[in-house]
This record gives sequence, structure tokens and C-alpha cells, in this order.
Amino acid sequence: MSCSVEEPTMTVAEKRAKDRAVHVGFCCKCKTAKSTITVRYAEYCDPCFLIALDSKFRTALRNARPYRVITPENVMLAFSGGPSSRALVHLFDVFHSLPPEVATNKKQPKIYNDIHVCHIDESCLLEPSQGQEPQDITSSRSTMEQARSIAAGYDYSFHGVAIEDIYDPEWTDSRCFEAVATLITSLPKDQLATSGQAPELLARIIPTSATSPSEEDAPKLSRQEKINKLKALLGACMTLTAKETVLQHFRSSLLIQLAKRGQCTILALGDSATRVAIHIIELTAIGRGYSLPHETSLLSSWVQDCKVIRPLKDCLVKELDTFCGLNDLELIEHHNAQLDWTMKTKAEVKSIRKLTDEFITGLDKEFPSTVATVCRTAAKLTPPEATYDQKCPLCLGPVQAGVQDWKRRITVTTAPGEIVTTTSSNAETETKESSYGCCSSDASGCCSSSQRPSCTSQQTTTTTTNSSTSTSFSSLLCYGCLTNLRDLDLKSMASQEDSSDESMSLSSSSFKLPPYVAETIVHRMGFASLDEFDHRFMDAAPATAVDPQENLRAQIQEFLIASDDEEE
Amino acid sequence: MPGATDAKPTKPLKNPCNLCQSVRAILKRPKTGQQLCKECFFHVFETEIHNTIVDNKLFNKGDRVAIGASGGKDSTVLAYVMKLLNDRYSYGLDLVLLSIDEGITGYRDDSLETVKRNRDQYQIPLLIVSYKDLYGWSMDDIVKEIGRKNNCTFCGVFRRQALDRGAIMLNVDHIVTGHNADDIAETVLMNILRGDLPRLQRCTSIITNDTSEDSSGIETSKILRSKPFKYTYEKEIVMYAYFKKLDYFSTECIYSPNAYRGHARVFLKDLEAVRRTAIVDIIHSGEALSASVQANESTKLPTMANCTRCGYISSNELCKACLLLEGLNKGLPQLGIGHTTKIRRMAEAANLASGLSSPASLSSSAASGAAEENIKVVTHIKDLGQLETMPSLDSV
Repeated sequence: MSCSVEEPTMTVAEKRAKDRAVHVGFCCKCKTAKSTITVRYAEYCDPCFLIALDSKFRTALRNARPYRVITPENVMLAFSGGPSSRALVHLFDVFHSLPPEVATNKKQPKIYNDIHVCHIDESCLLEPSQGQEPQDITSSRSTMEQARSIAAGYDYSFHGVAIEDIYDPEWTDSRCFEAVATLITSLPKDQLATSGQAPELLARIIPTSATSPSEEDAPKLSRQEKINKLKALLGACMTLTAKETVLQHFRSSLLIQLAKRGQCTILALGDSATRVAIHIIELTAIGRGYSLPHETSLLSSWVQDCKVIRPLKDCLVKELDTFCGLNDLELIEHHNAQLDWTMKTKAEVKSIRKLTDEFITGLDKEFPSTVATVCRTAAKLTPPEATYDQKCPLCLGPVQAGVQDWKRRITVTTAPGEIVTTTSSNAETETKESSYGCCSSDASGCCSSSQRPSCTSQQTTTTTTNSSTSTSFSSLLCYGCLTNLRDLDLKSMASQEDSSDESMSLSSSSFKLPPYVAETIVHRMGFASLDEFDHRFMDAAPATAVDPQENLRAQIQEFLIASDDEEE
Repeated sequence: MPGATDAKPTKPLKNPCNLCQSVRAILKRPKTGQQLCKECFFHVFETEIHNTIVDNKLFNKGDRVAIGASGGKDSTVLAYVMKLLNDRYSYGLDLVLLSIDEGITGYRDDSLETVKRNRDQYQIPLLIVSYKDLYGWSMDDIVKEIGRKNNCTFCGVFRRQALDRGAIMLNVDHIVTGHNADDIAETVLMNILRGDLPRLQRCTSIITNDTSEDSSGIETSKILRSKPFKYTYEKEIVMYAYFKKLDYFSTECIYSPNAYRGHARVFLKDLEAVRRTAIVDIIHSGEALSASVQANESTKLPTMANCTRCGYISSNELCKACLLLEGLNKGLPQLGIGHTTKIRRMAEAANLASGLSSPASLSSSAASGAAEENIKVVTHIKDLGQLETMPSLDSV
């Protein structure tokens, strides 16, 4: 397979460039002005470039959503502060500001009703500069005000949120999901260390406040607490790839919430062609091929009640940079959190995203049609048929059936003597009881259609069948998230056995997954709300099951430190 | 490769195998990072291939299966493991080795010696089919004629057909090849980068069956092809060969360098270094994408027919191999690489012009006529089964 000639053939753009060779040095559109900008093979003068980019944008916008619509919709522009989303905001403004003669014509229907701009402030994750107290960062480097003032310049309504607000119960579908999820492993700690294999992950739903959720004036989480939680989770991800991927899921979750809150049925992202191409290869590399069509298409209708469009999908990042430069558009410096600095060791210097970025950028220099070809490839893919209700709790993407089984068959992790389950149905009967001990009383609850019967590792004989409120988490995840969570630091998680020793009431992992994850888990288990979920388990399990008191947490922290010391 | 070697013979095992816990681990498994002993590694390696074979129902009992053998690490391990699993799990397969001799001096001649040793070691009969015999041209001849550029096109197209022709001569039901997980992952990436949707759809399927597409009675070879190493890491194949002390030949083809694919390979190795499951993850993505392509109406495969000259399955009147061969024989090596019709027209025009202008045209055409007598006509695929000059099987 290593030898066959597969060089890309000459593209239309290249051929056109050859034909244009007579006009070298002149704009390829007007052919009178000297060219100032070169994009791939075409040379433009400034005015022609702006016109060309604008029409590219309009074409994409029309393809994403036909102009002839009966009811105008609200659109939310995701604005990070970088050149691409900055250009998006400006292009939307140009598109929407009608010339006076048209504006006065009442017959002309509006295409978009209101335009909103939203921004996620990630300053809490920026690398602390020298001599700066970690606490100061948030205030001094916040990007929120700058983003707000840019939006105000266009007279758009502005919505801002900080990335740490992902831990706020308010940023969920129900807007008051007062619980987080914690993870435990199905294997006891000593086995984890020696078996070297990824254990089954179980999730527990833990109310965020010690007080009952029904009580009024439940103490709101302080900003610092939320930041700490976010940092704890990112800290538990042992690879840069895992950190970046999780952060990206949080961003998308917040963006969708922002759009819904702004009464917008369309969310416009500023992904450039370059960005989309890199994303396509990156998604492939991290095992997210199943959701790739949704995550890269011009128009995706995956999210319920909120279409996602990418109208800059045909513009190269270089073009957008130039566009911002020509229009003197103000950009926000340090707008996106780079997490490199959080890596303490040099174990992983680069993330998969970074590698892909370098790969595509490098390839595009040698073969300038790479970005366009990759984008075109993905544009022709049809999204998978999956139901939104069965979405992955972490990335909110579609979940493919049977992925754990697939993985297990091609990566054997049993010793020669052990009886290997040759068919997937074997595992079903023996593990169902043990790992879903929680729901054996009510099988319809969590053993719904979504749950693959074979979702536990085959050799878990350690399960103690306590009526703990843990539910299989691995089986709810999509392949990509399942893979990503293998990079979690398992030592920071308790095992099922440990926690059963400690009267099984404790969440001992040092990190929590945000409320939206907990909410999706509860929904996937077939409960409409947290209350309903609580009720079910109050009956099934002792009341202590969901009652993480502060002192108990302190107790377990002690326990964790002790066990860590032992190991080292 | 062997890990820390300074183990103490004291009671608690310094570095026990993650699976059996009773023997010291000597290697770190590339696919999972687990520390394993030799026996456990052999076990998981073989079981995964067995699972792949069983889950995909690759074979039926009594099938005659040709192992595409080049003498390289992949096919050597494939031959070894196929024989082992066939015995262990009683697949009931009749195994044969099939090698293609491209005629590359300093590369293939040496590797074929390895295959011949494998034949003796594993007691599997071997057939060697050469380009020279089939097409009248060896790769050395072709490179002499067309240069280093594009020669891989010839080699690739000819090899695919040669394998099928060899398989027909051997009367087998199935060909297995040593393509490994790295190869598949790389192909997935390549097909996305090149925008080749039909190939993206096909490249992850473990078994290819040319007969599945024909509904109109097109004659095709009924031979299946499959890749039992689809989920097997290249590194583990090397590791297996190393610990089993298998006899294989390790040199790159002297004509092979390919810039574009090279980039993808380097990228894949980088990814694997960052996250060891990346290769399997890419294959998983590839399989999911393949399903996404299927639903799309606009990317249907071309309709299949039979080559009018040799009977091989083809999407055109002439199959690619016959077209390339025609180019070689007529001295138009660009035929089948660039625009075929354009090159044909140009060649005709040139012929016409030379016929009108020069009186020497007669003699030159006579010379080319004489040359044509030496030109090998590829045997029609129908006649291969009952070839009089059936190559004798090098049995052991």
C-alpha cells in the first residue's frame, strides 16, 4: 500500500491561475489595478478582494438558509474575539444594513430578525503572567468588556458568559440543575495499578449544595469555586488533547445555551475553511468520525431548536485576517485559552489539534488546494441518523451503538487462561446485574434502550452490588468521549469498592463533571427532572446515598492523600 | 521491546505482567500501553486476529485461501498466524502462499528467497507469478522505459491483477493480504485529504467482494479479498515477528518514495506517539464516515463491466492494466496516467504526420510491427483456469 501515485491532480483554481498568468501583478477581477493580495492562486486589489469575500459570505449564507423565508429568525453570532469571528460580526453587519432605498421599502422582508452577539470569557484559564496572583487574572484580563464594547459598536444585543459558568446550575437546559456528576471506577485501586487497562466508568449524581434543592436562598457558587472545579477537572485530564477536547465541549454547550437564552434559533460560528479542514482531520484522529458531519457542515440541525451555521466555511483564515486588517477591525488579544501551560511535564508537548494544525498548514503550503479539498470531502457526507434525546452527556453529540463491544473485540485484555466471552451476548447476563445494581429494582428506569447490555468490562467480578446510586457512565458516552476519558487520571477517582467501604455514600473523585452532564445523564436514564431522579433513589437507596456533607468530603480527602502516600 | 531488565529474583515480582500477574513483563504493548509478558502478548495478538476473522465471518470451512506473501514482516507474520489459527481453531482452510514477482532487482529477488524459506518453514505450498510472464514487462523494464515518476501506478495496477490471476491459477476462494491497521488508518486520512469519497467508503471494509456489485451478469472473479490485520498495529506485528524470531525481509522498495503519502504516514506516527489509540480511533472514524458516504446518492461507484481484452473487471471498456500495457507496448507510457483520449489523439496525429512527411515511415512501421510480435497478449481471464502452461506449484 505504500507505493502508488496519489498526488492530487491540478485543481480548477490552479488551471484558472495558469490562464490568468498574462495578468501577473494585476488584480484578477478588475485587471486594471495593481494586485495587493494573493489568495491561493488569485491576485486581488483591495476593493475587489472585499467584494469577493463579501459575495463568498453571502453565497454561503444563502446556501445555509434560503433567503425566501416566511418568518425571520433571530441569529446568535459566536464571537471569540479572533479574526474569524470578528469578520463574521462585521460581515453580518454589512449584510444586514440595507441601503436606505431598500430599507424604506416595507415589502422587503427582513431575513434575520435580531442579531445577537455572544462571547465566552476564558480569562480564568489563561497562563498567569509572572508575579501575578492567580486570583487577579480574572479581573485584569477579562475579555468580556472589550467584547461587549465591540458588539455595542454594532448596536447588537450582547450576551456574555465566563467559561467557569459551565459549573453553574443555571447553565443547563432546565436552568436550575443543582447537581454535578462524579466518576468512579468499576475496578478497585490495586487492580487499576496492575491491570493497566481502562476500567468501566460509573457516574454518580451529587447535588451541588448541601442544602436541599427545594430550599430557598440556596447558596450560589462563588466564581472562585467554579474556577477551582473547572481547573480540577482539567487537571485530572492527563493529556493536552483531553483537556482541549473537554474544554471544546464546554464551549459548545455554553454557546448553545447562549443562543437559546437569546431566543435565537440560529447559532452562527466563525469557523474558517482552514479551521474546518483542521477540525475534520482532528475529529477523525480522535475517533469522532460519527459526529463529524454535524460538527463541520455549513448547516447542522442536530441540536434541537437551534440550527448551527458556519457561513465563513469557504474563506481561508488568511483572507479573514486580511479582511480584518483592511477594515481596521479591533481584535481581542488572548481570547482563547491555550492550555499548554497547564502541562507540568513534557510527557505530551503537543495535542492532536496542534499536530493536525501543523500538518494541514504544512501540507497546504506544498499543495495549496488541501484545505479546500478536505472541506469539500466532508461537505458531501450525510450526518448519521441518531436521535437527539440519546445524545452523549459530555459532548452532546450523537452516540453510535455498540462501540464498547467493538473496542473490546479488537483489543483483547484478558489473560490466556481466562474464559474469553466469544459473543457479546454472554457478557450481558452476567454483568447486567452487577453493574446496574442500582436499577435492578426498576429495570425500566436506567436499562432503557440506550444502554448497551455489554457495557462493562468482562472480568469485573469485584462489584459488590451495593444499592449505590452509581450508573454506568461509559455506556452513555460516544466513542470519541469514551476514548478521551481514558486520559483521565484514574488515581483521582475512587473505585466502587473503595466507596462501598466508606458506607458507599461518597463521591471521592477530586473532580466533578458540570451540571449539564449530570442533567443529560439523568435524562438518558429516563427521568424528567432531578427531583424525579432523587425520589427514585431515595426509595431504592438509603438516604445517605445522595448526601455529601462537607465533613464527609474532608474525610475522604484524607483517605485519598493517605493512599497516595502509600503508593509513593 | 524489552523493558527494564534489572529485575530482582526476590518474592514480589518486580514488574509483573498486567494480565497473568505471574511472569515478569518484558514489553509494553503499543496498542494499550499494558506491560505484558511474552506469552500474554502472543495470546492477545493472536486472539484479536481470531476475533476479527470470526466476527467478520471471513472464511467458510473448506475454503482454499491464498496468502499474499511478499516476504516482508506483515505477510510473513500473516502466513505464520494464519497457519497457527487454522490449526488452533480448526478453520478447516486449505492455505497456499501466492507471491508476485515484479521483477525489481535488488529488492524482490531477495524477498522472494524469504518467501521460499517460509514455504519450507510453515509447510505451505507457494506459487510465484511474475510480471514478466503475465505482461511481458518487469518493473525494471518499465522504469527503464518511463523513469522513476509514476512507475508506482504501473506496479500497483499490475499487482492487483496479478494477484487475482495467480489466485485463479491456484483455484482459491479467497486472498488474504497483510495490510495492517496503520495502513488502513493512513488510507482513511489520504482519502479525506484527496477528497476521494468512493474510496473513503471502501477503504475501511475488511472484505472486498467484487461480485457484490454486479447484478447484470457481469463476469467477475469470485475471489474474495480480506485483511485479517485490519486492527493489528504495525508495531505489534514487528514485535511479534521479533519475539517469535520469524524470518522476514526488511527493505523498502527501491522505487517507492511517494511524497504525499509520506506526509500522511509521518503525521500518523506523530498522532500515535501522542495517543496510542489514535490508529484504532481513525479506523473507527473511517468506518463511521463510510456509513455517511453510503447514504449519499451523488457518490455512486461507476458501473462495472468486463475488460474487452482480458475479461478482468473494469469500469471502462479496457481495464487499467490493459490500457497501461498498451501504452508501454506502443511507446506511449502516458496512456492511462493523464488524459487517455488526448494522448491517443496526439499519438495518432503524430503517426499521421510522420506518415505523410517522411518516406522512412514505412520502414519504421515495419519495425514497430516486428516489435509487436514480441508483445505479450494477456491471457483472457476465462482461460486462466485451464492454462496448458499451468505454473507448477512449488510444493514442499
